[in-house]
Amino acid sequence: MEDVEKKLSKDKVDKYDRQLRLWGAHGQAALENAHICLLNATATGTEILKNLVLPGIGRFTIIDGAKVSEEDLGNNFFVSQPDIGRSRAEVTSELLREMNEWVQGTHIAQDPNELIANQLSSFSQYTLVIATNLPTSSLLPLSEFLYSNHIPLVVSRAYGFVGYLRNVVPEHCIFETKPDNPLDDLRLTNPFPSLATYCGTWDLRQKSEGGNLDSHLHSHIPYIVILYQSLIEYRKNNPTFNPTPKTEAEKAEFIKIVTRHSTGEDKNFEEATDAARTHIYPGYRLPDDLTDVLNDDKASASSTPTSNYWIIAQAMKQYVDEEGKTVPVKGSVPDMTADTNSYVSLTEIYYQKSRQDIAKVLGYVRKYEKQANRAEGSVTDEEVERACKSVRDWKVVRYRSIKEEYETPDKDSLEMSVDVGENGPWYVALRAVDRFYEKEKRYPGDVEENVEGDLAKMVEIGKALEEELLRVDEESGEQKRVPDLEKVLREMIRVGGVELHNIGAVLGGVGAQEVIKLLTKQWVPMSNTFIFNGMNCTTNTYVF
Amino acid sequence: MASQLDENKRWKGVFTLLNRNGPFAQEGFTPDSKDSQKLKNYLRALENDRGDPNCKILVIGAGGLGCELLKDLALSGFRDIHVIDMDTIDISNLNRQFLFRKTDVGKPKAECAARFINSRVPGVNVTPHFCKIQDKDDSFYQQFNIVISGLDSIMARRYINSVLVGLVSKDDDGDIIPDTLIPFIDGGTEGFKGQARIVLPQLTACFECAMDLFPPRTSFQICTLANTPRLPEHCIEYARLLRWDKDKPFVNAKGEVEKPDMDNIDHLRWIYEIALKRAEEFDIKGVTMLSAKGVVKNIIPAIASTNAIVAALCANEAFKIVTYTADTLNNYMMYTGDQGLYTLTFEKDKKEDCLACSGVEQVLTREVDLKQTLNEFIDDLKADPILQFSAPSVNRTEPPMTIYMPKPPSMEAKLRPNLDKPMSAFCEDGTQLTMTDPMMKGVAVIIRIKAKDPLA
Repeated sequence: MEDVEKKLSKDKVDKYDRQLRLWGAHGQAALENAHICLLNATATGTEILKNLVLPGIGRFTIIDGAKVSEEDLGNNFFVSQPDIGRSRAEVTSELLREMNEWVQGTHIAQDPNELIANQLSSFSQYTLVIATNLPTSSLLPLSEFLYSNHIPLVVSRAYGFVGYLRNVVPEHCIFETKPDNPLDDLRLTNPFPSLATYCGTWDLRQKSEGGNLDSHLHSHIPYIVILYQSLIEYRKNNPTFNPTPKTEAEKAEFIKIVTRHSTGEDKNFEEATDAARTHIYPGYRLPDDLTDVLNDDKASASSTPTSNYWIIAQAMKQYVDEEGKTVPVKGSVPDMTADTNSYVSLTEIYYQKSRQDIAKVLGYVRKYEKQANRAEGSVTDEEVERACKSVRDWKVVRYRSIKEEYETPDKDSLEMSVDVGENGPWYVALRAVDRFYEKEKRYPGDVEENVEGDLAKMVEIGKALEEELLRVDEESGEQKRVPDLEKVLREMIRVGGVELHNIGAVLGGVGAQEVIKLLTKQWVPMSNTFIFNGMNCTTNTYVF
Repeated sequence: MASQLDENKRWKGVFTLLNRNGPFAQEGFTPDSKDSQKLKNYLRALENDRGDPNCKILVIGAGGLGCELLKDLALSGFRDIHVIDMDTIDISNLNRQFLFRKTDVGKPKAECAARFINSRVPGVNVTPHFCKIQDKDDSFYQQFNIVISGLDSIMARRYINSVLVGLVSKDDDGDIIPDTLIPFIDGGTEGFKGQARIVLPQLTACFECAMDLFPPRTSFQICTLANTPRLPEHCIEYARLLRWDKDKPFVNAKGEVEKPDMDNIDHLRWIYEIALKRAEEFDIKGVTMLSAKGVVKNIIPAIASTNAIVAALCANEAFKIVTYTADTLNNYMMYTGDQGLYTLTFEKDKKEDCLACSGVEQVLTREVDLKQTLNEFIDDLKADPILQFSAPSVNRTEPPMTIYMPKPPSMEAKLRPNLDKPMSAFCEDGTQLTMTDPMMKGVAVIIRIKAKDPLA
């Protein structure tokens, strides 16, 4: 864990302790440098913002033309009774700001639709925009503008028991995806010189076999040493076998070698047998996501990098090409049964190798930095070091724009999403609600008198959507349909446009977490559409 | 002030769903009408001349989940809400427990939370209880229609689960008497992961039925701490578990040796400094105050967003249970948000031989080396994944004998010497021991001893 105490004030370290253990000082800095814009201070919108103000984003701006109404008091925590009639943007920004004295918050008491129509360029000042309850006629131009300016957009809505969230950003580049079970890179199938030298000095034989280690030290030989020597012997004995055991017979042969000097009860030899599965048999291979990044046009030596990420990627690509298709060693060793001296020695060996590797990468970084006419050191040593340590976890995600989603629907995804048990029908239902709203400027079923007539209109819209989003079945020649669409549309009518606090609060948590991942560039954001079914309490994500 | 609000306007969202039927409402859902406001009155615990009962809801815990739950329930229309929490506010709570401010540090969580919600949401009445859940008796819990827990310990959950399971009565035909069954909604979070579940005590899987989803935390081997440390954690635990008892660094006014208190900054600093020296001795890097604190306090990272999600899921279920406006979760949902967004909803089955809710005293056979001490036997039971006892009492069934009790102190002192005696002093192959644990109210587990063959 990086030394957060050196980088943050004591007050912050104390208050933010529980979250710093997740994203570190550099993650916190990313949050504190962000200026978030919220469009429409609805229950959902304020709940998302609440979960960003608490961990300490730098600044927010709320844009909302509405006045606080009695209805807001029933689902929005950030308004209070004396505020009825005041600007909702102003009231919610006050009550949100009040939760964290280190967060700056302002408001613009104006209808977001107007701002989007007349001052679209003003949105370029934000790091990220959250849009709730925006009609399609505003959402499309806003998302196009943000997309072309590489500003992430998170769209969300709570409609009755259904919740919706969509991430939109052309390109999201991650070094630290932090997978649950990261693979240690022990380099046992293609060892570097200092590792080979160290492992080669050991005599694995028990004392009774003529070895020089007493039983305690023998049972504490690190499995790295055992596996290294076993692989050498395996390769020497069987030049016709695969260089790493692949078939069952080869694996059995290998394990025989591994356990030859074990007394039968030694933990370290057991660990070696287990570790063979992950550190010997697969051989050395670069992860697919990493290879994709390095093969990307933007990582080629001649390209002009658009960000620090791509400068580092260019540097890494050169490193990989020059170092026999290997990446920098991580520099740490997983815990294993070992005596302290050997464990510490091994740790030191991997650590020193990682320092050498990082130094090489840094050299290339400076080269590409210069080539791109960037100031030397604009890519910091710390950033490069972090990127090298997590090199096996790199990933770049690209999201389709809303325009692409609407104009060229991904019919494969859509057809899968309306299968039995899936929540895709709710996506279609929400699209129908949006269409209805565009036409009628109100929500379907808003008042009792409209319920019947609106159902007929929604069914018609639903049919048209089916034809847009789903294909004609090749065999039957019939239009594919959304199962139970009418049932789902009836529920939308029942809702009559209301927003329930609890559904907004679920989206508040989910949305804030997505924003945090997008800002800190740690972990992996959701791709790209999230549907929450608050009736049967299930969720799905789809790429639309 | 509150009476001036037009409640039909304020609760438009909630009332729309109570007034209108829909294809996904629960079977038997009868929407309210102008003349019949049954659901609304029940939800809002309003007095009415029809004699409809009023809904009372209990929230256990006023921390990360508790604060969210109170807000969510208040904004779902519930009015009669109780909250119970024995803790006071700490500065590290403030990054997510949003009902508290810096000036509240040191004050009881339940009271501050209630005060905030009552002032922000007109008409709601949150009643705080600043005490342990064990301090309340059955009659307290019996008054509630739903219990929601946002606890941070498995032990506390097992306790409240056993209480609610114990409250259920059956009639002469063996059917559950509906009024005695209190739905129990339980939520938990850790970093980016969380879960929510609904328990209908004695009817569906209870918390105890799902104990296998929470394996006991493994601790480091003593020999590693004593002889072959490799990681900073080994050095830190060496200081706390091995050196503290030897050095006895803090003595109180009465001359008694103080036990390590991880909230005491001096105790923490002592452990950090010993750990650092040891790390330097073995050339191990990475011991810092922050990591030391994390290891000894077993700190679990926590953020507002995960708590927000899980609490809202629980409150949503409470709303649907009470109003029938839609089907409810059946019965367990797991959530993880670090790699994309992933949830799994499934039905956990009731365990036939559940210690808490099977209705039958469970007899478990355990193989025991009769030469091992009673203390070692008890430690094994603490690590046992199904039992995970915390501080068990041990009694022999036949011939009857009280072997060990952790409380009261007088009994404990009298029976303490038994801890060092071998198991053969109390039992042989086939002996039955009756064990109870403060973590499970009203539950006794019978352990049948099977002697381990020393020659095997």
